[in-house]
Amino acid sequence: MQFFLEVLVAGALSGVMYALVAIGFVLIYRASGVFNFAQGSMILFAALTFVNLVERGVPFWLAFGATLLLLIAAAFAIERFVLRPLSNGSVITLFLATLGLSYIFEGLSQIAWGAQVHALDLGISDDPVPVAGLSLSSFDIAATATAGSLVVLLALVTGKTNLGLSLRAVAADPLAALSIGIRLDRVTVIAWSLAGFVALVAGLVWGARSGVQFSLSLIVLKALPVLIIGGFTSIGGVIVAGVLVGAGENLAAIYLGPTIGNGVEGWFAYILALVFLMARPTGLFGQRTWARI
Amino acid sequence: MASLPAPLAAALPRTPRIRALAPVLAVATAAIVPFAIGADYLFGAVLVPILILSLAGLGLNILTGYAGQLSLGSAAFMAIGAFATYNIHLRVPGFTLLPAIVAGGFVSAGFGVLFGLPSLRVKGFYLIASTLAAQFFVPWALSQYGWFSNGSTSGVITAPPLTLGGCDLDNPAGRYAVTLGVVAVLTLLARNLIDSPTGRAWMAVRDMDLAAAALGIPLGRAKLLAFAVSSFLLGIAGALWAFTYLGTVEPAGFDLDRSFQILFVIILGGLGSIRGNFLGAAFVVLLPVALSMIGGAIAGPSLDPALLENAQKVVFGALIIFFLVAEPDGLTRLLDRALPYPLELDRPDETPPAGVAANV
Amino acid sequence: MSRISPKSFLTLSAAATLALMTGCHEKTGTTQQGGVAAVPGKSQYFPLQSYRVGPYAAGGSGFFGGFIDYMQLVNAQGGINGVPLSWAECETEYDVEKGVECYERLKKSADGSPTAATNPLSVGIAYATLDRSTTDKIPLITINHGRTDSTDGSVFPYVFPLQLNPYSEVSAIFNWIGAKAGGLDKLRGKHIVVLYHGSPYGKETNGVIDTLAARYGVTVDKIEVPHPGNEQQSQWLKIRQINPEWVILRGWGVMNPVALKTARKVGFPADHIIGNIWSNSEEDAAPAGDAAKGFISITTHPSGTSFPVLQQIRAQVIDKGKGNLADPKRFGTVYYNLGVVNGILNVEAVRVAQAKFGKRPLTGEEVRWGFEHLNIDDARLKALGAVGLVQPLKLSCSDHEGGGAVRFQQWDGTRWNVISDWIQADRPLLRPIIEASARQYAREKGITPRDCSKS
Repeated sequence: MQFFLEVLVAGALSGVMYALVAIGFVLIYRASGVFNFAQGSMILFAALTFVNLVERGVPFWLAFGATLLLLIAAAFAIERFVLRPLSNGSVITLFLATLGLSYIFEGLSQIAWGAQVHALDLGISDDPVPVAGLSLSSFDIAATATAGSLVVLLALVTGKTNLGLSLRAVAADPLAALSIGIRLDRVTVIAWSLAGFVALVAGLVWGARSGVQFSLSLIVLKALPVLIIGGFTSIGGVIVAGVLVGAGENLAAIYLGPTIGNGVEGWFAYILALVFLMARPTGLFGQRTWARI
Repeated sequence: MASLPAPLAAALPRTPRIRALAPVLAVATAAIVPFAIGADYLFGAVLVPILILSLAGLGLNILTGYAGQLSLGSAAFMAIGAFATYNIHLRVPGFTLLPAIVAGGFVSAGFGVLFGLPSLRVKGFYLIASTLAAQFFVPWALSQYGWFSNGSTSGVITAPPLTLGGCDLDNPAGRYAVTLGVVAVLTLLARNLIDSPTGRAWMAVRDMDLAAAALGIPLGRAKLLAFAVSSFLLGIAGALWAFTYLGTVEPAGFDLDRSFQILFVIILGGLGSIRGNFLGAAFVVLLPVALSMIGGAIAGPSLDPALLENAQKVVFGALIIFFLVAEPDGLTRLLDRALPYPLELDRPDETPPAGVAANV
Repeated sequence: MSRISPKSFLTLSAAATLALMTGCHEKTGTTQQGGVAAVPGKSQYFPLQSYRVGPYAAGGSGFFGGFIDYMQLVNAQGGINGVPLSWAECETEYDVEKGVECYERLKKSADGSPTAATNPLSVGIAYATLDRSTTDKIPLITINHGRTDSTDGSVFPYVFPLQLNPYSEVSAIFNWIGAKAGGLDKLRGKHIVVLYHGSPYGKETNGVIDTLAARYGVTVDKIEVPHPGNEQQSQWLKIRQINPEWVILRGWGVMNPVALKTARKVGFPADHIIGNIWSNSEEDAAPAGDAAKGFISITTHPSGTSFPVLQQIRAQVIDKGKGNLADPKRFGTVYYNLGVVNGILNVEAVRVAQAKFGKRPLTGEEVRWGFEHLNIDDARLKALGAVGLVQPLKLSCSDHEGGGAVRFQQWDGTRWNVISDWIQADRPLLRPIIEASARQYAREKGITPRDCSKS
């Protein structure tokens, strides 16, 4: 029983970390209606830049700030050269543009910083700690706390500030928001910068967990089922979905694994997403859309 | 004569028309010119993959370009086709290579319908859950259960030598000939299918599914048929990939990157266009080769290969975005505008309006 | 953004395609040409299907760095009996399809120099190019890895899993574990977990592990980590539940540091994890930081820069600015040294073949004979400046591996320290399995095995 609970909780904690990645998607989807496949490479780019600055002796917060500035600059460039020309494009077109973006980010990251694996030390040691009789990872607990505070922060920003109001207005109806004078391009840049910030935090967390290297961008493949289950539009929803996916995946790997084979966690989350979708075709917390002729 | 099911009847060749000349011309060129040049590298590493990717693109185009159902799992259906063909050819007596390939296509079509079932309930971008599930589940299953690769320790299947009707085609020119034949026939069949009421039903589903339903078009059947035909073509493309191109395949060769590659083929070539698949495939295959040659020519032997490789990624990504911005209807529209008389491989009302809306 | 004129775009691309086609026809399509070719067609050519990008870039860039640096050294010393070496690189990203494409593109050199051998450093690519190499008569070298049954050269004349094939690797580890327990018979009833990479390379040894387990009465659990292996939580939770004596890590690339970090996370001690021949480098342990301290692995050669041949490379190649490594700190690391060893063995094979066929650029068939008659003893190692770096090797028609011994090393946080002497694999036990598998392959492919007594 104790083992079962440990698997469950460890999975749930990982799931929160997947959700951390997924939050970036949600931010951009709500602001630009775009499914930003480049989020994964943005995470890689952010983590690589940060870790290389730190390895060259730059202090933590300076490196953090510098990386953030780079991401904001990227957000400007993306808004100007990709999103604005494609503003009339279909969903597939925009998605493919972000796919192209992800190739650009990946290539640039590795040209600038190389293909080595880097260790990222956030000062949190990863030893097992006993919590309520279960042995859990201290790092995972810290990461969950980070994700939690990030969600609270974002909720405050979107809920209580004028900026947040603009973001929500743009998400609800871009044309109406334009007509009352909200600067669409500015809001887009801010949304993408926020997503960049989230990418940086996610990059730090995942980089510390599994090392900063090329496959970091593949973490987006774990965030996708979380997004699909949670719905593309709800931050709280992806946290819940993250817990579901993480725990489910771990349990499936341990308990289903012996019967149907190794490596179940590669596809389990997607089948789970599919099952949920059949019940709720727009995700657990996603917005239901109405179509008319 | 007993009547055939509608889609099958629609797919068989009809009376020749003037428009049929253009594809004939294309096939004739493809059948003669490369043999005249006759370089092994041209056959084995350029033309064959272009043809196979065009076929795969055609399959995905039917599903995404014509029927509007976004799929990110094309490579999984290629994998099913490849492994099904291998096993049928190996285990079922009487199935020589070509029948095995066709049978492999049908197996893949069956799985296509299976993974297409969610499309009856789920719309828009969320549908990628189903095809992504296929994309991750299928290679796992194929490498997990040794039966699929006939007990090979590494999960890699090796294609038997290519002989057809007693004649040994196990050389680059022969493989090209087989691939050309299969792809030409299937393209013709697909083209006729798209021309028929089935194809028009698909386009109705893509453009305005509610109105289509109101007009009495059976949505569910149209969608599942699109999945079936698409997976059939993808399955055959996968079998060709294993048998006439690489010679060995492992399930990991049909991963998400391959699915994206096929998606690029149809986007760059032009959604909802047949000739676009060939253009897109040529672009996708030749661009990395061209970039590495240009890179080598500019920087010479002092060029760091890692830098070159990453620069290729950046250029590829930038070109994708450039194309999407400059010509969202793809290379086929570019070709149309450049030539004085359109080749008329596609009828004007078939290419979708600029910026295909995929039912979101 | 203004639209580009369709006509100009098409004219440009048509021109480019035409240029490409003629270019391909004349075979000028190489990415990267290196080496000395004073007279075109008069060098010994090595195509390099390298990878310096992607999840396995650390291994690839180190290995090919060492290989190329050694070839530069040989050229600086006048080539092999006056014949210079040349090479061309093509990026495969460890991807099978790219590996095949690179093979086809590079197998013939641009200037007509004969091809000596291919060294793709990938099990998947080796499998895919095996038949082609045999048809094209170009030796396929798979040092320390590869298709195990290719050890039997009577069925696989052109494939060489030099030094250590995967079965030997596992057997040597079992022998060491047995020695640690006080004798192989003391292993009965113990529990071992094998954590392997989900790829053809990882799965290659599953069969022989079962055989060895049955023989020694050990319970073995084989747990797979899907490629690329950057998430291993469920695997290590399971390992903690099983609580085995040892974990054998058959990893590759990023899977290795992640394994070590995750092991620490669940509290499994690093000094009970044994990495195999592809989990044994500095790039595998260092990124795991503290979690890697005490991690044990096997190696066919130590890291370090004290060997005379490495000193020569430093003096004649690196100090002259011709070093291939992007990061000079990696000089002397495990993967780099493996590349140097690979270079030594490839060049030695050519040298042996030249003694028989003449001091000129040799064809693949001739170099194949050279590989098959490699006989590197201590005296030869001394002359090469590689004592302690390369183990004594003797290949033959029926034995394309030639070695089968490893040493064990342990990571102390900054470097690897050798902790054992040469441990031999149980080759007599493995040989029948290898031969049976090779015969099966021969039957499937309709190959008549060569008669090795005549070779």
